[in-house]
Amino acid sequence: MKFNSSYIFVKRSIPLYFILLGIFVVASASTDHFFTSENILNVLVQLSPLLVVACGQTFVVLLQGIDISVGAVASLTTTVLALGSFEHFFGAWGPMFLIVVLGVAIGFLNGLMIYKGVTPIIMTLGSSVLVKGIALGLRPVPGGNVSFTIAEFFCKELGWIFSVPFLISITWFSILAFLLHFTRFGKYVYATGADRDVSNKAGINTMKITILAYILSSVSGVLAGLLLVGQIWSGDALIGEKLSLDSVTAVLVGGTTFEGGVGGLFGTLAGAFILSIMSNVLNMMNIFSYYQYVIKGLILIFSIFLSLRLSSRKEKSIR
Amino acid sequence: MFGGGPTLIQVKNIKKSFGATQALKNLSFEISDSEVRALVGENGAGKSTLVKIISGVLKPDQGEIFWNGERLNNYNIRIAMNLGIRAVHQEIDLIDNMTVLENLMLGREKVSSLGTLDYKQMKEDLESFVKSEFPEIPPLDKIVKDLDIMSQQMVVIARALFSGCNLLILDEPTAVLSDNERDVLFSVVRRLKAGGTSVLFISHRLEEVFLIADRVTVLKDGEHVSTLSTAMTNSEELVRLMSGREISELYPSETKKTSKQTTPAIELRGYSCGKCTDVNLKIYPGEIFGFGGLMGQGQEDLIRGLFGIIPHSGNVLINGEIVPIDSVKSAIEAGISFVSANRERESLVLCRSIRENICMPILHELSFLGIMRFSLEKARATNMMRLFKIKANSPKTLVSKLSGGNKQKVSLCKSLVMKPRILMLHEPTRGVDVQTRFEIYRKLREIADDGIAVIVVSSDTPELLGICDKIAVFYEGALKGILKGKQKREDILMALANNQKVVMED
Repeated sequence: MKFNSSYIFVKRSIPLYFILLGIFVVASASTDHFFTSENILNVLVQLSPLLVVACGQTFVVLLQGIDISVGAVASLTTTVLALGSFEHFFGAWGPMFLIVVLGVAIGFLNGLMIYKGVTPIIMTLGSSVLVKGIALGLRPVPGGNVSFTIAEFFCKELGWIFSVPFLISITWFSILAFLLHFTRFGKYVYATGADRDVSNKAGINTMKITILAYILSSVSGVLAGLLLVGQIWSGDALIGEKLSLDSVTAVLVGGTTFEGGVGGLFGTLAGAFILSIMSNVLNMMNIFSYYQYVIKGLILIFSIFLSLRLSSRKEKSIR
Repeated sequence: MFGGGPTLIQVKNIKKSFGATQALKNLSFEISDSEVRALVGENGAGKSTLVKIISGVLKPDQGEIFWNGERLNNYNIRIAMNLGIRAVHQEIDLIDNMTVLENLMLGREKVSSLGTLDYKQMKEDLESFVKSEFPEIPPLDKIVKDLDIMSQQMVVIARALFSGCNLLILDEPTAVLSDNERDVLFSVVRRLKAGGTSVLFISHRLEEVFLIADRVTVLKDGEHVSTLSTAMTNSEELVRLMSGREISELYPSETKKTSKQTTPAIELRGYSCGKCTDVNLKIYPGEIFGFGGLMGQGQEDLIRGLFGIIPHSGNVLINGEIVPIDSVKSAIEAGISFVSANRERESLVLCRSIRENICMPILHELSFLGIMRFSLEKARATNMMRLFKIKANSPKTLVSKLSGGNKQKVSLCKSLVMKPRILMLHEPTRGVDVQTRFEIYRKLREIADDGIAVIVVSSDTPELLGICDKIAVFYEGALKGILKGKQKREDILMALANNQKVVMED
């Protein structure tokens, strides 16, 4: 007997893995380069920041929210790490500490204001602009030097298809999946997302849950920024921008819907993989990168549409 | 007859007002140990207010609350929870996508030393409770969404009981249940009573009161009319106690004009919509036609369907011709206008002026080549304001600044500027003060005398009796009868609304 309802969402994400497998087979068959260990290694490195952010984003979408500020937080992380002077005083890991504190603060602000009734997209768009402003102030043009130790760590290859960034992202996924599916906090995220009134009446502190979820999302943005540093070895105030919407796309493709309390991290994992592999394949087919935006945009719009359709069908069935 | 043990909870001299309306006037009421008490009364008698006060959701303006003879100070929802007062409402307060076990344990989960949810422990805790006290509960591993409504209701009740319950309040729990399911619920209630729990049972269905309750309390207009042992009374007496009031001079006289017209303004043939099924009726120009009965018996769906808000089946004939109404636009084109019960959300734009609100539906008449002619708009709005005596400084006053009564007048004006042939009103005087009610009733009569068919859906029975020429009464979506002339009596209406047989003589 299964008493933990999480299994329904795990079960629901299984078809996505077949789709992923299908894309994988087609990609391997149609191009020579795809199914090589160097390319897979590369795909997994490219995937890791997206996966990390999408995991945090899942919590927020489960609460009927959205976090547009994660991309800006990731960018800010790279610029803070590229602040040479700061390192001078606090050592190589000093900036890391600072940026984690900043991440928590931004997440706290987002969560609190959204709990108080500000529309999630407006609130996080606002904090996104704010964070972007700080990042651009710190580093108007890309550049600067990141501590060699840090940068090297975040891009280390470990042989065959494995690399430190990929392992970090998978570890982050595992931690958050554990939180979401096996702990009280995770259960309360589902309950609060599904029905805040019922959760309040059951004695759940829904304000705490909302704030923690947005902090988790923001901290995921910081972690993604560290992984990006491993890719560019410098600071860039705009590098993470595309992560915001890409992560929402991955979550929606993964079957978590805006109706709240429906979905889960196993779907998000598949969603992030599908998006990354598609992007890699499009590159190899020499599709001009601006047209790739068109394709991404269409996927996003389509998955939002599908998500809304699924939620509205549920409402009708109640009547 | 129920002897009445020691008193469990007592409320004394409770008063509660919402704005100008007094919901409870000096009400006193008590429930004994292990008693099943029914609470009956018309819509608006104050039942739900009383329940909310007992469960600590609302604070009374005045009065005292005693528990086991002890006075409770600063009574609130938390104290109520600690005393073991549990309210189960009509809506199912569960998380759909979770298992029965997760819902029962929501907010009081057991956690293992590793910090993970300890499902094994929770299952053990619940299984003994289920076996000894609540065998009706569905299997613990079922997802709530997949359960039928009865099982969901059982989960809600089980959750209330599992946390230690001394007084269970069931607020219309049978509204969504079938007869068999109701019997299961009642056997649970009887077992609770045998176990020493008191139950307060609110229902619109009088036959249930006699099935389950020891005593029944009748509320009317926020006052405690009577508490009777169910063995000593019958449903006729209850109906009489619940209604039976004088219709005051609040209402205008009936129309003097006798309509000679033979074509109905609107006719329904085999009309079904939402809850209401297979309705056939004719409404003539110049009539004020009421839809009554208990709330949610299909009359609300009927008018929402006529205005094209929700889809319907069957035929709608307007002036003798079949008119397909599939959208609000087609309803307006057919000359139908609708004043919603929820004026603040569905009718008015609160942050705009009276003038703009009134003229909103007819901007095409007030503009030339798409450019607004503000002088025309102002003239039209000023004229309407004068006709309806809307109290405001100028047409530019924002609607949000107006009182409930004046808002309702603006809402009414907005529907009338379209020059409808059929005007439908839902709860036309909800949240409206007495003086304005009086004015609105007069106006409705004038409107009808101008040859417009006026349809009123109201849960306020005296209002329907006072202003309508004919009243159709609904029960469970079916039209039970149309009252006119001398049949327009509160006891007949209440009897029909409670699905009792009535012999109607002309």
